[in-house]
Amino acid sequence: MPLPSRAVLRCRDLHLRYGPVVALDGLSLEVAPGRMTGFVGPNGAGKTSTMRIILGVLGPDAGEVTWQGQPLDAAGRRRFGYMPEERGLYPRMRVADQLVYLARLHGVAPAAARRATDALLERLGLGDRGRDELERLSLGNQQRVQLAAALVHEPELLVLDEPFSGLDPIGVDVLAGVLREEVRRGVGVLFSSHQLELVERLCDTVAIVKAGRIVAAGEVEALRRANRRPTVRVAIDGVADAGWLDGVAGAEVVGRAEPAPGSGAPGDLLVALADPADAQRVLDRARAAGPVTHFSFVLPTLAELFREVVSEQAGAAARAAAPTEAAA
Amino acid sequence: MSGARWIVMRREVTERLRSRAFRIGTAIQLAAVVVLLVVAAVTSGGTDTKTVALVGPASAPYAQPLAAAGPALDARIRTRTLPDRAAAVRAVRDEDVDAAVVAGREVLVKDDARDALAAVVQQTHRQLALRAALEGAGVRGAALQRALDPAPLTVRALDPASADQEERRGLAFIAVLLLYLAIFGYGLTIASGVVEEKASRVIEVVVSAIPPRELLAGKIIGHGLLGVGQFALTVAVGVGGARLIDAIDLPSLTVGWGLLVALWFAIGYALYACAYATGGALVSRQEDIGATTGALNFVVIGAYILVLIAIQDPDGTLLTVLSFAPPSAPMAMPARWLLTDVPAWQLALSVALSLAAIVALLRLATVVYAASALRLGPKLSLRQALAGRRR
Repeated sequence: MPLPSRAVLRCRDLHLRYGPVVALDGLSLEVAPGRMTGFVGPNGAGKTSTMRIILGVLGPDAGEVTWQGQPLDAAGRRRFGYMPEERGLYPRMRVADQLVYLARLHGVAPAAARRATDALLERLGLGDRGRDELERLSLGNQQRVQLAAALVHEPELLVLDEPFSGLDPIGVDVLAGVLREEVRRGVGVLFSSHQLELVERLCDTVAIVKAGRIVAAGEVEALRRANRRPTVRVAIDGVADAGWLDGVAGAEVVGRAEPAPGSGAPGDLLVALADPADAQRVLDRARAAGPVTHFSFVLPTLAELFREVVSEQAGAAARAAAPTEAAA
Repeated sequence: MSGARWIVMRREVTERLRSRAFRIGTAIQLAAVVVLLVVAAVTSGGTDTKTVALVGPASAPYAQPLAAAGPALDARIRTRTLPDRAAAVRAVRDEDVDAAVVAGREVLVKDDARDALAAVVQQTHRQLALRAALEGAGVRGAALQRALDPAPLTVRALDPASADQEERRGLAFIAVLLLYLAIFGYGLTIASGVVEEKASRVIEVVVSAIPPRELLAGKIIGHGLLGVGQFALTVAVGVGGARLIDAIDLPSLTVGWGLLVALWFAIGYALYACAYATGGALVSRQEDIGATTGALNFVVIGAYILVLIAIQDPDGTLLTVLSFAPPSAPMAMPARWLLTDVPAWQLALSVALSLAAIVALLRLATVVYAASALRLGPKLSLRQALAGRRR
């Protein structure tokens, strides 16, 4: 499942063990410039380890990371921005001093570092807090400073480990806005998250990791359509069973949609088709059985896709567990 | 990027100077020095003064010779006249006077019959008796003067270098004490400074930009400079103040001695700074520092006590051995140098050994720090840290 060839960061066949525990088992990943890549997977699947390896904080047992076709070195990494899972800055250091210091460590000249710091604090709505010690800021604002720490040296690639965790909806919007701006500038963004609706909303591409390997990767839309039969959701007033569908070639009941809370009725039928064109015949049969109150094509959400790919019994049953609607 | 360590060093210095704890600590140290100086000035107050009471005309001739005998006792001797023996007894009991001479026949002291002052009075008594005898025999004028006060014997020291042995011993003691205090005072500061990034979890952001070794080097240099600076300030205030109020006699130091002690101070400080940094590198929480630096504290205390014992015998084997072993050399070698003749090659060898130990410890600290930088959690043993270093 390779990304387009303009991908600039490539992880190839990364392996990593912590004693007896296999953290990464041949993980390969690509992050393209000017795109937002969501990195999702269950806890312990290897997201943080991968990010730490990209940033050189951790060395892999095997495998390599390349940047623009060359093996990644310290100079290349200095052009990356990183927000680690373990948040933390110097609590007693003034916000602006702190950002200037981190920019300097990334090789930015003193005057440029101060300019970048001022501009960034302004952009994040912290223009008047630069002289305050970090610990005097609210947690939300500290999180913004953490983001600023990843951005202050104007990186070419952003690697953000759970950047949205702990943010209120306004904070989420601010962060999403900033990330979109960075992507527009051509920065590649890789971020991990458990908030899958957010990933679906923000990301062009997604990589799903399980037990140290990528199990699905690519454009979100393509993944939702890939490897599955077209499925329709049907509701007929007063008809709960699926007997009316008998004898329709290529149609198969794969499950039921989640019923409305408190309705007591079984959920709407989900019918998988051999061909999208079969939908009309299914609709005709349904109308013959009673008044049709609902008929639509459904695609799995990213969350459903995730459960499917990650669960042990990935298959039709799981796939149809609870799809919701998509424009048909 | 060799510039990184200087950026780190500058941050360490500016942030520490800005911190209230550091400022208060410095102020308290200086205040303590001033208090010590004041106490020293009040209690010692320069040369001792002894008062001898004289009772009766027969005691009057004692006044002049007693005053002249003062320097032998390292004191100034004053005399005063009292009317009778009872008054003299009272004055001695009440410690108004240190001794009393009654009618030229009796010396009264409070409790110690062999008191040095009493001995001086005895000496004066012999001198007066001699004078009376000589005058009785018709010796007069210059001849009498020559007999009573002959030209002093020439004193020739067989081993001139050890002439000021006591002064030197005192100096060595002070130098060892100062180094010990500095190591103890700043070792823990360095250890906790090294933990700072791990404790605040900023470590990951920092080591994604620069190698851990640069971070550690910058921290050790920064804290080292601050420690030495604060210590030098304290010593300068102490010595300057002492000179000013004349509280202590500072033996005249040659520039060479001063430089040597300063060199060893720097070496000892660097050595233990690296050792404490290793202790700090093993933990990720400030609370755990005690567990990894405890053993180190024992080494420091042990080296200090051994050197103090060994100083008593400057040419002994113990001090010689201690002056080569890196943990004790920074204390033992300058002491030896002050107290006895040390061949130059021995000094050079000892310096080389200590420098090698510093390099080795710095390596160890760096390896441990790099290996444990991201092991945020319980403290590591040295073995665990070294085993995990391939990462």
